[in-house]
Amino acid sequence: MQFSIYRFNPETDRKPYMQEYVLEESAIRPGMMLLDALLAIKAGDDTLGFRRSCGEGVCGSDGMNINGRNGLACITPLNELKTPIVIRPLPGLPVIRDLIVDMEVFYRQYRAVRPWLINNDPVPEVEHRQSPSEREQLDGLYECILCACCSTSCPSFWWNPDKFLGPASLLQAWRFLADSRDQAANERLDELDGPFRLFRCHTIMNCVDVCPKGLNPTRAIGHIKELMVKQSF
Amino acid sequence: MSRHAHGLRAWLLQRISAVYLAIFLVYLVLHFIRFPSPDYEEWRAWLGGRAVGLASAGFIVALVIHAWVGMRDVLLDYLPHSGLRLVGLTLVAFMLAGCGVWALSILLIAGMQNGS
Repeated sequence: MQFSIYRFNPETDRKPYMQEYVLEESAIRPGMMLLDALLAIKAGDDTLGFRRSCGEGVCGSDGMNINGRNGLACITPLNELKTPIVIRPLPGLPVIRDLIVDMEVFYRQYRAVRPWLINNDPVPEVEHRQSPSEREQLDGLYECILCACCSTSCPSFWWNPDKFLGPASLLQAWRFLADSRDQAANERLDELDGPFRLFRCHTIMNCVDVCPKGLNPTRAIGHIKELMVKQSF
Repeated sequence: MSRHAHGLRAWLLQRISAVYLAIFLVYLVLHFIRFPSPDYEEWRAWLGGRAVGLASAGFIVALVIHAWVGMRDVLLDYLPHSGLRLVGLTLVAFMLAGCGVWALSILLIAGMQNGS
């Protein structure tokens, strides 16, 4: 099985290049994931750099561009991929080495939406209570693992990564706006206004297309706009 | 609107103007199916009518607003340099305002000629 993998080591390479690798058919087991193949390749060439941790689509470390589409290597079945398998780092972020990207701008945008509960009531003895239907509002939002597959597949994020929050952060913005225990909806909406932070989204929906957890940031962004309109009149 | 909203306001204006444009365009298509290939006098009389004149003026205003938000989006997306962005936005604003005033003046002249 043939692989073409993006390589770049800023200490030794003047510019990035694609390196070809071949994995013998005998090394391929049924049900093998792309991450397993990358680990097998790395066993033969330990200079190849990529991030991975849990290997089960939970930690979100191994987001990469696989045959032109962002995804998690650990839950991408090898037999569903067309060969040669072309692997590049997540688009739009600075490359540190090979498939490892600098996620700083992504995390900065995540921090900007203040992804925590803001509640000024006295801290309850046990917990902030929520009815089952209030809790249901958070389904499809809290599951995000911050792998950055969505934001780095979003053209609006490519053009304005420093100004547009990106789908992952906006999904989290809605996760706290939708939380019955949160009391900062107005401030949150004020912070989201302006031409860039939220409104660079043009419902291209690449984020929905690639999300490995099947989440829908575009719908969340629609809910935010709806709430803004409701609160404005 | 309480929220001083460059983002929300533009987005809302884009949607509201789109609805008006869609309705007016359907009307235009139906009108020209019923009365195909009018000559100059018929054109002038039609556009000079009060209801059609006002609706057409609304169409031009909606078109200018819609085009402004769309062009502004394109420039905000693709021009990363703030100076260039400002020049681009200014040029587009002048061009659209010019086109709008020109089109409205044509309607006004047609209306006045109808009235005289």
